[in-house]
Amino acid sequence: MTIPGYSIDFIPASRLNSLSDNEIVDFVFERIDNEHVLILESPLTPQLRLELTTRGLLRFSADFIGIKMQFITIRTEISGIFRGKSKDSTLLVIAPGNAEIDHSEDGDVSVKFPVSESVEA
Amino acid sequence: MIKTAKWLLMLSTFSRFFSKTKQASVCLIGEVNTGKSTLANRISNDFTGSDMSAVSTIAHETRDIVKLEHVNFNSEGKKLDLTLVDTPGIATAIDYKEFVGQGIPEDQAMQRAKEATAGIIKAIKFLEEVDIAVVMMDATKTPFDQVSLTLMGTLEMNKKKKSLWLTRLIFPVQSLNSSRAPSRSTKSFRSQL
Repeated sequence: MTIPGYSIDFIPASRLNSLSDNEIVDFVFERIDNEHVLILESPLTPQLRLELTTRGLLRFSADFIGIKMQFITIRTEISGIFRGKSKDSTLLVIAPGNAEIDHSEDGDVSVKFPVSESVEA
Repeated sequence: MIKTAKWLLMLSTFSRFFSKTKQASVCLIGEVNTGKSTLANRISNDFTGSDMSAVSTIAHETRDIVKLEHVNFNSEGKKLDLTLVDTPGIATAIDYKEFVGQGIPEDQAMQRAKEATAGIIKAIKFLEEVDIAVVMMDATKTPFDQVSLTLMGTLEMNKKKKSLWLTRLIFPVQSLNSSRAPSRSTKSFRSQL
């Protein structure tokens, strides 16, 4: 989905598996710099999340205020012999620092930007 | 706000974990405006008669680490010499325009934001050195946000490095500036702890 100024990229875990930690951090910031919102199938390791946080803060300027990250959990029903049970999958949303990520109690996720630029998923 | 008696009781309980330890450091850490400095000041006032940190409704008032040394507790004949550490509020993005909106001139707002980012990085790294991290949270907001992620990750990494030393206390409190009820996800999070 593409909205003027911003786009949402879903990144499967397999896309990041072949990258080193540094390459993953570079990959994320390259996308963020180009006004992409990332939804990662893999929630990344604590070390990587910390590295993203500190790297983002170290780059602070009038034009770059950091990044926003938030877990979202999606519940899916299991079919087959385990029918009736459900499985939770955790995704990680990473957005530019001026975004507001809202995960409602109902499970809806919205990523909003200031002014008129907004994206809802 | 937590009464000092409860705080003392809690630390008295912790002191049992330090039967062979005479000194320990307790770090108050968490999101912006969750009452870290308010709690630190309450304890500091009880022990020294003066405040540790300035408190403000404008975010990022505490922009550097503040220590209060020799907070001494006695429990069951054992002594615990605590160093209390107040830290800047953790965030992964700081919008200086919010400070401008609260009446701070733009150049000062930018400076405040720069100091805050430096303070946050320092606070996160400082977690490697502390024995107990008291994570303060705003119970009206979802606990699964970025700050929780950052802190959990840092504590998890430090636990591996100092598994005998680092004791985690996750301590959700309702924001002192908010009258809203705790969120459902916070209640769920609290029940999971």
